[in-house]
Amino acid sequence: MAGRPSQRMRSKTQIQEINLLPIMNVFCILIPFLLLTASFVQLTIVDTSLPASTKSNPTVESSSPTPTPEEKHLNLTVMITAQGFSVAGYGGVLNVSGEQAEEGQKPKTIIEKMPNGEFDFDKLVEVMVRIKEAYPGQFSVILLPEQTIQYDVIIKIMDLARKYKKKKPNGEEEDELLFPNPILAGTLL
Amino acid sequence: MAFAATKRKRIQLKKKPIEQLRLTSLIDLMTVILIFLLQTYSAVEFQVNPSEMLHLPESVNTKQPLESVQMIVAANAIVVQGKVVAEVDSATYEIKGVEPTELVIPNVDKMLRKEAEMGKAIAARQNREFTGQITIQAHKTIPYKLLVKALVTAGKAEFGEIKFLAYKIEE
Repeated sequence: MAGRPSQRMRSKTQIQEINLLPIMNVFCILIPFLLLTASFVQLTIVDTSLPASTKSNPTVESSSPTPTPEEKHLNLTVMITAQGFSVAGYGGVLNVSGEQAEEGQKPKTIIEKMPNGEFDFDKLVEVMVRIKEAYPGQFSVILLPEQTIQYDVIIKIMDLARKYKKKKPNGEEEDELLFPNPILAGTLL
Repeated sequence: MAFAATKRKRIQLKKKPIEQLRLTSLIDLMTVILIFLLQTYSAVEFQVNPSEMLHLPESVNTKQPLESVQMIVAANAIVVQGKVVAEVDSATYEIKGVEPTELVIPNVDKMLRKEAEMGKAIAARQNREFTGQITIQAHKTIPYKLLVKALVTAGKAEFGEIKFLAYKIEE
């Protein structure tokens, strides 16, 4: 006859529950604090510097790549007017069409607004990419807006001028710096 | 046949043992909330009060705002460090009491110079150089003629490192 199972075998081992109250207390303090300090709208900053006539910060200068001789002289400037954009360099306005002007015709110097009255940002990026490819050592762009130009247009141009998608020979796209140091100049009168 | 339970026994049967509050699911929920809130926590506090007169532009930039002197260029006022220093005509975007051709706004200049002096004193005490950083919150539809006045005034008061605050959007 089999023996009676021992008391130890019959007794069910009781699982000890963890005391969660202290951790609940911590949570109850942390959650209201974090709710108060939480920022649900993400903010960012757009850096710019003033023209050299005002006191500039040496740390900003040192963080930008060393200017090459061509960068010192190119002075790439984007003029933003009510008609559209004009791009200038070396003190002269560039032909934005990218093609030689036909004989007797003036070169196209303004990226005109689109028929719906909006600025043609795509065309401006195209022109800037072309300039970047010709002058890879150039990192600064001077923005020269007209008095009536709205602030968000300026911010948009700064955004677009920061980087572009460069196509590699294998077809892949890679982010490349375009003109990441925008300088806000005076206004066009 | 079994005997009917006594009155005492019946009362005992009715009384259910007090169940302990199950906190595990609550803890799970709180952990999820805590992680979410920790992700959205930002140490640098920027007070943005969106209104009809102050709506920031959007940018794809990913730089985090830094602690610095703050200037708000709204459609109706210019505020430096929380104090209204100049009033703007929201129809013409001209600064009230200042000539339209004047590029430096006297009250803003005075306030910023005071802030610059304070900033220099703090920097000297901490053995570092005064950076001249200023964060500008500007209404997205203000014309450049108003913004340029704020920029020139900031530049004159030795705030050469301008940072525009914007809402972050995905590319």
